[in-house]
Parts: sequence; structure tokens; C-alpha cells
Amino acid sequence: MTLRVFMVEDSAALRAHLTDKLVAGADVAVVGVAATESQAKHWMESNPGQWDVAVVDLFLREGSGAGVVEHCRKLHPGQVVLVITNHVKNERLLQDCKRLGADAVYHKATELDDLVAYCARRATPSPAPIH
Amino acid sequence: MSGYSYTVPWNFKADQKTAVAPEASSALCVEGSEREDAARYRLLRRLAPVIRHDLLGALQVPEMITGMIEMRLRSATPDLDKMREDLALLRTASEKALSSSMSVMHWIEPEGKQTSDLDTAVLDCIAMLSSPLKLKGFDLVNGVAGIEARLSVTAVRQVLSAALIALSDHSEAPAALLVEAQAMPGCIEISIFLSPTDKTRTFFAANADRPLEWHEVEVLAMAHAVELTLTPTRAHLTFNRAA
Repeated sequence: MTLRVFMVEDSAALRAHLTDKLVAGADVAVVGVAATESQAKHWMESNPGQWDVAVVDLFLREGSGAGVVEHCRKLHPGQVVLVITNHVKNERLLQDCKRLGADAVYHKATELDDLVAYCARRATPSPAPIH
Repeated sequence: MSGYSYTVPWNFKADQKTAVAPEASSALCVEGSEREDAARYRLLRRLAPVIRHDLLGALQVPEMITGMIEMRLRSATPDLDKMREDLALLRTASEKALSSSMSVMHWIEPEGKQTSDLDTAVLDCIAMLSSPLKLKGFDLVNGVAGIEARLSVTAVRQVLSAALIALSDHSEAPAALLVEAQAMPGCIEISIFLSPTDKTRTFFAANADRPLEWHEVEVLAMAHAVELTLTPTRAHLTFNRAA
């Protein structure tokens, strides 16, 4: 199953290269992108149920990723929201992200391979056990 | 939170020098200098997340392109045209990373006694603080435009940034922070007004650092000869015009 990813990242270059990395490492299609909080909310409201995983940067030049994560969770409780950040991954950050409804937090400098691996696992679920 | 207001005299240091004996004056200068350094360090700590974001963001693009080139090279028949494209992108991305790193370092430590027009100086601070304040639930609104004046870049960056951070740190709820300016003879008054918003908003407290205290803002203001009046919902900063 191709995993449908919605990406919220304010750097166009990072969006392009993270897309390359995801597509190269997992069965992923990036179905939508946004650079700001308002663009992200608008896209999600216009495309309900059209994505499986949202990858959201916390720091955006306009608005904030925290607002996007909270919005995702209110509108789409069944879908997965992954936060990416360059912020120090301290306990407080993890708690705040969890409180807002994020499923996981990945550091952009050191953990993008883990993010790709997560998407690869999610795209190809383990076969159901034979009874 | 109890309301209070005080004003820091712009000539505080000069008054102290004439009021005390030379040896005591020297000790006070050392103490004052250490307090200034401590306040600058506290401000830098609070700016660290956004500095980190800007620096790492710029450096990650070349790192990711390099990763893609390595991946293409592992193929039995590497796509040389794609690799040439990647290398061209890598060059551009590296140049941008260098330029971005220089800009960030320059923001922290401008070279020489730089001055800037008022609009640019305020915009500099707003661009730096907008994202971290937004994460905490604060809207930063720039109401400064059209006043012709030149100010010290370092003074505006340090004192205005510190006042914005301190006001947000000591606010009990998310709020809007409006920055305005007024021209006065020989000086410019920049005012910040904090007004609570009635919306329920995300309040993200990821910064584990302690709040920036008013006395630290006061020390930075004194260091740059900025007259400062603070209350929990307002700050007025009076900067001397630069020559």
C-alpha cells in the first residue's frame, strides 16, 4: 500500500529533498505540501481522508507547526501525525508534542532516517498471522 | 502578578562614576560589566532555539543532497545526468548555507558600530522572534512603519528582543504583542503593548530555560543607554538616534 504523506515544512529545499528521501526509502507518495500554518489547515480541510501521515515541522515562518498538529488531531483522529524539528528534543518538548496529539517526534539533523524507516514499515504492514 | 513601573535613567552609569570614589567606581564597572555579560548570555540562551533552527535548516539541505548522491552512486548504473543536477544543487545549497550562517552570526554580533533605519531594525527582531513566540501562543504584530530614523543595530536587537521575550515570559496567557514607534526630538520611543487574546490557543512551552527577568532587560537597556519603562502589559523603550 502506498503511504500518502502530507508535508508541512517552510523550507522549499528541505521539502524537495525530504520528499526525495521518503520516496527513495519507502513506498510513499507525497500528496500535499504546505509552508505555513494557514496553508496546512486549508489543505487538510480541503482534502479530508486523502492522507495517511502528516509530517509537520514545528518552526514555520508563518504560524506554527504546533497549531497544525493540534488541528490535525481534532479533525482526523485516526491519522498519524509526525513532528520534525531542529529544536532540542528535551522531555518538555516531547510532552508538549504528545499533549497536542503528535504520534512521534524526529530530530531533523539526526533522525530523518528513522522517519523514513517508520514510513516504510507503515507502508508495508507485516502480513496478518495465519490462524 | 503585581503591577509596577520603573524608569531606568539613560545616564545611570555616568552618574555612578561621579558619585563614588575611583577604586569603588572601578569595582562597580567590573560588576556592571559582569551583569551585562550575564544578561547578554541569558538573552542568547533564549534566542538559541531560533538560531539553531536557522543554522541547522540551512546546513541540512547540502547534507540531504549529499545523501542522495551517495544513494545514486550505490546503483549498478548510476544516473550521471541526475548526479550532475545534484552537484549543481549542492553548490547552490552550500553557498546558501554559508550565507545563512553568516547572517545568523552577524545578527548576534554585528561588525563595528552599525546603525540601521528604524523599520529594518524592528523587522530584524520581529523576524527573529516571530516563530518562537508563535509557538508559545503569542502573535507579534509590527506597527512600525514610515518613521525616518537611524538607530544602533545592537541596541535594538538586544533591548527590544529582551523586552519582547520578558513580556511574553511573564504573561499568564497567550496574547498579542503590538510593536509601535513614535518619533521624539533626538530619540525614538518604541512601545510594546501586550493584550490577552480570548481565543483558546496552543501554548507550547518547549523552552526549558527560566524566564527572562525584568532586571536582565534593565541591565541590557542601561548598557545601551536606552530609557526603559516596564509594566506587565507594556514596555516603552527610548533609543537615542544614531548620528
